[in-house]
Amino acid sequence: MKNYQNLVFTTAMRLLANQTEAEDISQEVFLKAYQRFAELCESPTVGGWLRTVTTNMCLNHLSRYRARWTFFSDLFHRSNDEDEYEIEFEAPENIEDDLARTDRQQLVEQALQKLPHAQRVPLVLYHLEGLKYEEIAAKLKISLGKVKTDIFRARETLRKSLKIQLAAEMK
Amino acid sequence: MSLDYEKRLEAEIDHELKGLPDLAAPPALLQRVTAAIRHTSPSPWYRQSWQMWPIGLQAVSLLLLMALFGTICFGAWKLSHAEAFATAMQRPMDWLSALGTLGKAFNAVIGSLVIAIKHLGTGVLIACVAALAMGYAMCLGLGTVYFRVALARR
Repeated sequence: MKNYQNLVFTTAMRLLANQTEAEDISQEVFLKAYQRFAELCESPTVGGWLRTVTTNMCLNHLSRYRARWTFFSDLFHRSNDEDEYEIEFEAPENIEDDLARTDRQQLVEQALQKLPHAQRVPLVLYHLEGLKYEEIAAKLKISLGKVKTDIFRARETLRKSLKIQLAAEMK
Repeated sequence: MSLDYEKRLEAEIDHELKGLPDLAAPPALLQRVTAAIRHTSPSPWYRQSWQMWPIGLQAVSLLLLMALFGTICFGAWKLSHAEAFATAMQRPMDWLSALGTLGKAFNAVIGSLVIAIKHLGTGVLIACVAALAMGYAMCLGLGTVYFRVALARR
């Protein structure tokens, strides 16, 4: 478990953007792996199996607990799309001309976590899990057009957020 | 947006995201999983369902149950042909007939309810269904408010 706990937790965290839920899902994944320990312990594809199971459990969790509330939250938060997903970062204490690689990675991670789940989930599935648009549409039970739109919006939001931070630190 | 812009954007974001390292799992996760495994350790065979028993024990238990069933059937057949059995069964049969009367009364009550509902009219029935739907929607709305207020990230 020590070898794969970071992989499982990272996959869950990037899909759910909630540490408590990610820990719960990670625990369930490892319990499932324990039940199939005999066949997994010598398998070379255990990492892929864990990743796939984590992804599926996260998607099930999202569809089970958020679909109903998302409908009403959309009713309460009808506003201009451009203002809706504004991302805010904490300003670093010492602004330097060149960002360290770890600082930039932290910014990217924060920006990813702050995306609404309707954008973050398809983005993560496409870029980090390697799924195609059609596979994402099938898994999330949404149309292909919505997948492409959500992924494009997520990319735009990330790009704007990172550029905003860069512009502030160049001053 | 041009196709070229979208391709460049996709490549840029892909580079950023794939460059991210794995997040560090919280130290408590290992302890939680270990504790959960200990809690769900397998119990002895006699405390598990029949399907989890060893094959030999399943076969023996199946044979014993079949023998018991056969014995009961044979015994019942023998008893039914005995005079003392007919006399002994008279009293339980009287009790059962009383239950039959109770069943008829219950059927009469249900029939009356059905007739009353039919006479209520479509409007009243629609109003009841609408009230139920509104109650359900209110529960969803209150649940959404709770979800967003109580569980929202700070």
